[in-house]
Amino acid sequence: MSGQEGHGSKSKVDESVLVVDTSFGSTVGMLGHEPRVETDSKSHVEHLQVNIATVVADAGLAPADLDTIVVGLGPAPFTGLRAGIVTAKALAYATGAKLLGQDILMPQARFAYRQALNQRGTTSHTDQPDQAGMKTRILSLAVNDARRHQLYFRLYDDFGQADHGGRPLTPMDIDYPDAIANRLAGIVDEYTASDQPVQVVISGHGARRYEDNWRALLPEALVSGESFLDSGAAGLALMVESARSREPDGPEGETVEPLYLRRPDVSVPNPLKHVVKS
Amino acid sequence: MSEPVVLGIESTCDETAAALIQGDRLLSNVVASSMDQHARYGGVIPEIASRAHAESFVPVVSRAFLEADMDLTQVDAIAVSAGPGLAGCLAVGVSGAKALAWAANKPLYGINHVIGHIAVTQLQFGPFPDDTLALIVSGGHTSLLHVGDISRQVDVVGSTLDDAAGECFDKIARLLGFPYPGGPHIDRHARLGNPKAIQVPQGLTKGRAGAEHPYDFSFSGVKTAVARWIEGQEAAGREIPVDDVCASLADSVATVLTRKAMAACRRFDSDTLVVGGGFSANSQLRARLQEAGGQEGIKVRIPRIELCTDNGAMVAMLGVNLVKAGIGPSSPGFSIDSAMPMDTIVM
Ligand SMILES: [Zn+2]
Repeated sequence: MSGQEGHGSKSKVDESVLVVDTSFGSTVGMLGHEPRVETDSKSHVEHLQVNIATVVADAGLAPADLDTIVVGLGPAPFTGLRAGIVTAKALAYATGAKLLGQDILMPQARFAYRQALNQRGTTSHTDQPDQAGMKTRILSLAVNDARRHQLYFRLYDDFGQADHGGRPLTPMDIDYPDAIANRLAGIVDEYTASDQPVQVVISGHGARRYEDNWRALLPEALVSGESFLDSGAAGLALMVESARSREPDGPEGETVEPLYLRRPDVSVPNPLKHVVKS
Repeated sequence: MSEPVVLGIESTCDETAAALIQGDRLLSNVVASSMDQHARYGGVIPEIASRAHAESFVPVVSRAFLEADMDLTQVDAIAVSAGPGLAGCLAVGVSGAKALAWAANKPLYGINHVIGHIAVTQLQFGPFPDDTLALIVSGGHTSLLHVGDISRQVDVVGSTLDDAAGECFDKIARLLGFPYPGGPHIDRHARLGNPKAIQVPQGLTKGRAGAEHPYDFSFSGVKTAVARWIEGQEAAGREIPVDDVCASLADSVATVLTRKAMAACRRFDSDTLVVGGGFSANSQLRARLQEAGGQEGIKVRIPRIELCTDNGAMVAMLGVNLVKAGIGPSSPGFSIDSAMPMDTIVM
């Protein structure tokens, strides 16, 4: 695979772009090169910065050469996600590199969409009307494992016509697989009720683990547990392409903050006593 | 050679802090606290604290440089608290510090937060004489340490076998219905009450337990005893004399801490006691230690309040000591240690 297959990428060849993502394990790499991937999400403090140093050195670069840092914002479990984001922010502060944040569900949906097209042996869904003359729509559900039997997810549509991001059909959210499948089946029903054939693709870390939950309501869905970040340099390119397609024009840019989507586990305790009246 | 400049970064609990020190000169000291966010829960919630650290890390560090009119290229080293503390909080500070150190090509020291509480007293009182004793008192720690060489040799003389002194205060403050953090409320009420009004146990001071643990502490019995006493008063339909409860509690805890610290100084023939940690802001303890030190001929070094609570200066000051002693930096892959032993100075 090469890093060049991003569609509509505005990447300048001579620009140094570091990608850091800790939404699942960790992936760090320089655009155009193979990333270093760790599946253990408990060793970020020890390994993340060492891996960054390695990929930058392997690309023949020094910290000061970094032009842009693209960091994964999740949604993902907390501790690992934070390590990646604070690392990227500190690097950007120290090197002056531009910092772009990117949620991982949008590139994941694009990745799955392209995989689905490849599987059908076509490059665009617009050129293949079915027998009734309707073009099959690909609905791409991107997920990430949230642990505790839940998934982070978002549903997208229409990547084929959009180099500037897919059309999200739902907000980003966290829920149990059965509830997500229910919601998705409802959306599919609406399309089929209006004679629109759809193909559902469910992908990302955790997608395969809940295959039975999907199959119960969506027997025809394509399910893949592969993350776009498992696809080497191409995955990095997709991450950068997605970040650039959303890059704001304003000088302050956007805030780069973690997508937790889950509130901290806390409860307000009952005071034991109310001796003091004030 | 000019004195080394060190950036110190702190994120062990609910304070995100950064400071710059050159030699023994404090150039800047910036602290962002998430305390207010924890108040309604009656204690520090690790996930809320960790989120706050991640948000505050770069703003706090950049503010420290701004106030010192410096930039990252001008520091000789970076030091960061690597433990003991809340794991999720430590992970933020150490990850950020590692990124800064790599980006600016600076040596990085992952240091022991508790030893930082000792080191910071140098800002106010200068270097340590030989055989300095240290009393560390906070919400998480109550320890007596012997400082042979702040960069190389710190030994545990005694520590709490159960609750920390600050923790004991927090628990009783909750019992009395004070908002979190309760320490300052107890302090204020204690000034108005009679310290001998109620009997508060002084753990490990008497009999066999006292002889076996001359420099150790136990505060878990204090909470139980105070709780029972309050229940008894309520059952009898009497009003709770809050001022007296606070005064008796503060007196008991300050007495035990002072007595054991003085005993340890005598044992190590030390003429200097340094005091650190958030609980050393307690006014009863400060007064009692100074008074006893005066009587025993022991110099008691209690820093001003903003150096007692968690801050970046304590981390930077220990860093300065390590740089000047020629101690090598931590390896790039060093870990955090939420239960870092007191005699580990640097990772
Ligand atoms: Zn502390």
